[in-house]
Amino acid sequence: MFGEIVIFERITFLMKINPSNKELYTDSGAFLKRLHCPISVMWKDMSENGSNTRMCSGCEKTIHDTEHLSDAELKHLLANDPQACLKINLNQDNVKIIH
Amino acid sequence: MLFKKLLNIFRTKTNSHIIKGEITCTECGLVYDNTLGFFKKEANECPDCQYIKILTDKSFDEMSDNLRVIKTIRGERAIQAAKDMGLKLLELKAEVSDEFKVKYKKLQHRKTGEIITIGDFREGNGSEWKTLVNWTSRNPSKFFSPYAAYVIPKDLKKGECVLINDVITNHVSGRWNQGDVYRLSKSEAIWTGEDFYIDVSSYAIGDFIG
Repeated sequence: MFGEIVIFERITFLMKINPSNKELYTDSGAFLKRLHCPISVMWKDMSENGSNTRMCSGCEKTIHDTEHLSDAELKHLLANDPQACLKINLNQDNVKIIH
Repeated sequence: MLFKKLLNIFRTKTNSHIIKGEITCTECGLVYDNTLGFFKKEANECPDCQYIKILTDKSFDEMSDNLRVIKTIRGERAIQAAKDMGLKLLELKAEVSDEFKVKYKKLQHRKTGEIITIGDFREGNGSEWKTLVNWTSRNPSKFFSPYAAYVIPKDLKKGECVLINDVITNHVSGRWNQGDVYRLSKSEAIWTGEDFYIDVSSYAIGDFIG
């Protein structure tokens, strides 16, 4: 039963991103944040500091991998820290692309 | 003031004959063909005037992310105006590659009539939506003129890293596994003394971080 819920969560779209302006929205269209990093950093070059997070050596902030966050978790994260850094990949299951 | 002077030099006669798809520029009076969408719908200045204005726009003098910002101008009138101002230019051919494409599908809600555009194959549409335009792709990049130039600060040193907000040359910023190919429009670059080396990785699409 629990497994079924997890599978359902993973295939449900939770976020929308516009690759042109890097604006992130919830599935219902509410604006979350505009992704912007003033430092040229690559996810693969960062060191893991948690199960779904990595440490950016450029600014020493924790970057959250959104692939494993639910809509509620993401909203909660940004409500507590609107400047929280996120990593989103175009091909992850819980993101859909808008133009 | 300088902008007004430049306009007087390059002013075009107003054409009173206006048809659908044409917009009259409030600055120079030029009636501009907008059928290709080079104007924003709400814009009231022609692209020529918008780029001439960049030449005197002080906001470009501010650093961005600790980098100097390079002005890009497009169109023969802006380039000529820059030359008349004695500015140093790096002129480049501006042609969009056919490689860039984004796909889309247009849907209309059967009850409300609302029209939406989706861009992701994974986004399902229920029976309440009917297809207006089935999956197709377009090249989202278009330039109103094949003439473009970077304005080079006279004190720009070889090896200096800068920020270009409107890249002229064609570079792929990212590919999506659904087939979309995105053009790099903004990038960090290094002045080689003769040209800019575009650091594609600085604004590449793939993993979005921020």
